[in-house]
Amino acid sequence: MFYHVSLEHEILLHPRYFGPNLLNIVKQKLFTEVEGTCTGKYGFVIAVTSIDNIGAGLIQPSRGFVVYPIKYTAIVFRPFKGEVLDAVVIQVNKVGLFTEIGPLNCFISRHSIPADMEFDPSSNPPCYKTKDEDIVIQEEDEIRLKIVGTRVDAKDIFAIGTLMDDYLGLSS
Amino acid sequence: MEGSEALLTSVPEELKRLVRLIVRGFYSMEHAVIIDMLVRHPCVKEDDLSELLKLEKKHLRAILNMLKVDRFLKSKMRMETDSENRTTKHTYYYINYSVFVNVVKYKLDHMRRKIETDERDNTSRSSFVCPGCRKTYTDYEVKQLLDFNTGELVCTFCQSTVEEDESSVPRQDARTLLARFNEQIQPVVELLRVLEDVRLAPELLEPEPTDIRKFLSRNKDSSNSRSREGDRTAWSGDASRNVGFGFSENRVTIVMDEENSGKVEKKEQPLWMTKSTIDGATANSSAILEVKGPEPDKRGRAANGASDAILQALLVHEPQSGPSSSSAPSLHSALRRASSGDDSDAETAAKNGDELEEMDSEEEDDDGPMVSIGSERVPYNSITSEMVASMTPLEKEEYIRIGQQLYENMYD
Repeated sequence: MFYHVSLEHEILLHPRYFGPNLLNIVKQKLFTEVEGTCTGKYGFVIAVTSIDNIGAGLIQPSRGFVVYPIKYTAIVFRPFKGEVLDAVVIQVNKVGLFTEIGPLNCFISRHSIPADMEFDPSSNPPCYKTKDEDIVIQEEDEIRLKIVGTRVDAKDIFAIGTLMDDYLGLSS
Repeated sequence: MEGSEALLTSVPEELKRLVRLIVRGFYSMEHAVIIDMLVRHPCVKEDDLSELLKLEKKHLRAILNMLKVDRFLKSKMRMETDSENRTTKHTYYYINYSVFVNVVKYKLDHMRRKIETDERDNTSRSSFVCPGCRKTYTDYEVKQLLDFNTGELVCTFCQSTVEEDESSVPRQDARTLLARFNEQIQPVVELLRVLEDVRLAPELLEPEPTDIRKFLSRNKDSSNSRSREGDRTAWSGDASRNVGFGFSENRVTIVMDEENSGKVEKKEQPLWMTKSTIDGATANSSAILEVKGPEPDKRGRAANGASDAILQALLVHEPQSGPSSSSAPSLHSALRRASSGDDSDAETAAKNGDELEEMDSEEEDDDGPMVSIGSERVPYNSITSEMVASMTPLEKEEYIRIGQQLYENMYD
């Protein structure tokens, strides 16, 4: 699920950037440091929408580095169990499907793929397909899945999904 | 009903339906029957329940206890004085509506949580194992294992290819379990939603005991059901719905029983009671008469062993023997006629009487044969010692002879 939230971040800036372009550089650095990262609490930071406040820089004693506390708002993506999402298949093997939902990796075990679909290792690329080849899921395909569990680490989130529910599977 | 702040003075239909639904869905038939009874009659005595539902007390108590432990029922004790002035403790049971709703919600939540836990356990169960070092991995750790170049899962510890753990239980079931649970519990959830803001009046939560026995006893008096229903409306507010269940059914059977027993009595009474009354009455009356007569034992036996014909004969002659003496069957008139002649005639007449019918002779004994004293004729049995004293020698001789003859008849 996507949220628009206020967040805080501290930018550590080298003294060589001190100059007339200082604030632009601070903003630029915020974007590069924050966007695309992941926190367990808020999920993936997709994009910073606005920088609300750049606090007074504090020069670190005996180092010369400056710390800017910044308040900003960003769009974040936080996956939840039970959420239905569209994903792209990036890998197909005998244990299941590996997919990406934007920054989120999601694994679909073969036990969570409908029983009428079977892994076909001989085809190129390998795929999961029904007997009559009506539905074929292979790499690069877009599928709709439901998240059945998330593993949240400090800097990463990993999800496992299922195709065993209504309206899940190949979306085309 | 939703959002109404006012207290409800009657239990809403949805709540009753919920109670029944739950008890039918999750309990045995006995529980359902008891709950049904308590839905209709808010507060019922344990004895009445066992009587109405025809359940054994011990069994009933076990069921009630289970429902009580599950917080569906509440009970209260009451001292009651019965008609014989004995005080007995009675346990009244009633449905604990407000708590009931919470209990249902709580239990449903528990079920859901349990299913979710199962599901989570399933997904976090180790489903991959490294054949080299026996290290196990769950689905969550697959990302670390995946080697994107080969598409193989590689053990993070020994770099050999990880295989699926075949011993892990199939789990297709658990994944769909929650969906099935939601689907099946849907009606209950809907009822709960409707009942969300319902607040019941205190008299519904702590209902006054209903005197089922009053209904019952009135049923036994086969009173009309209308007044009974009137009673019920007084506390439940919905009389029409409850018709045709519980008491009314019981009432029907009870009434039938009564009718049957009444009929049976009426039928049988003429058959054996009339007979017995004749029998007994004859025996009795003859027994009373026997006091006068000198031979009680024989008479008693005769009466007991008597055939129908004898009984009929006795019946015919009963009235005459009843009062003092002087009603006149043909035999007596014959005797009288004979006595108007000479004494020997009277004797032959008496003998004739004996010959005519043994019964008659016995019957005759009630008064005894007539004995003439001067111009009067007095029954043998009524003769007193004064009479004997006033007899002429001839009369006395005749009197003694009649007496001897009587006793002779008696003992042969």
